[in-house]
Amino acid sequence: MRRWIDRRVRERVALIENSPARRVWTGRRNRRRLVIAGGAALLVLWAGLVVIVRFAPSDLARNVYLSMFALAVAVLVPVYGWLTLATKGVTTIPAEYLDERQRGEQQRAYTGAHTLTTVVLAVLVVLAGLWSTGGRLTLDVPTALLLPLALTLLATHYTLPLLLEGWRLPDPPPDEDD
Amino acid sequence: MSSEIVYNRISMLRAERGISRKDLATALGVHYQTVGYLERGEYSPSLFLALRIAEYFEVPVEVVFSLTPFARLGSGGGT
Repeated sequence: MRRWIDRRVRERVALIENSPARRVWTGRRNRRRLVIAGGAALLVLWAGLVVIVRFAPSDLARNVYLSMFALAVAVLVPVYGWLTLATKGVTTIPAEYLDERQRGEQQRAYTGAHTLTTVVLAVLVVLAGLWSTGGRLTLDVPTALLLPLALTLLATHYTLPLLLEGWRLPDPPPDEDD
Repeated sequence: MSSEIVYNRISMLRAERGISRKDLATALGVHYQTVGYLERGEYSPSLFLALRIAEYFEVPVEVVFSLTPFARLGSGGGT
């Protein structure tokens, strides 16, 4: 099992290193464009939850939410792949395959993402508190909200380290063969 | 602490000895971009890596790293 994982990770590292797409996205400006697109896609996912809360259960809510979800996924999947290439997979490759600088980058990305996720959850708690009626701390929400909310939280939790790393990294030194 | 910049002469030593960034990175067991970041002063190495770099070039660590900028070649003495 250990050898299988080792082989898989090394294959992934080689794929990242040799991908021609990496050169397109590795510069800070293009990388930040990807981050903005990814952040916008996450916002669309969160906006979809508002649609559900306001209009579910209805065909309108279902159709609008599914359209927003499809749009967000269509953006997030390629953005995630290109950002992984641009950041050399620092947030996705296990720490034992990274050098000390990369491990530091990984740690900074996860620490920053943890802080942001905490802020997102705190905002959710505050909103839920404001939304609950008569101080009873109970909410009437459509059950259709549960799965999309879990999905949105998962997508946010999963992509934030990469988005932060993509935004933060300086321009890499040029390759010697450039 | 006012500044945490660590100056280094890695690029000079590397050029002097005709060693590519990738070769140095392989010898040190780090990513080749890490050597680039070190040379640009955008990353300060751990003590372990600093000692390994000095060992690789077979010079004392203070020849490679300094807390103050290295004098430019030809700037000292003026003779």
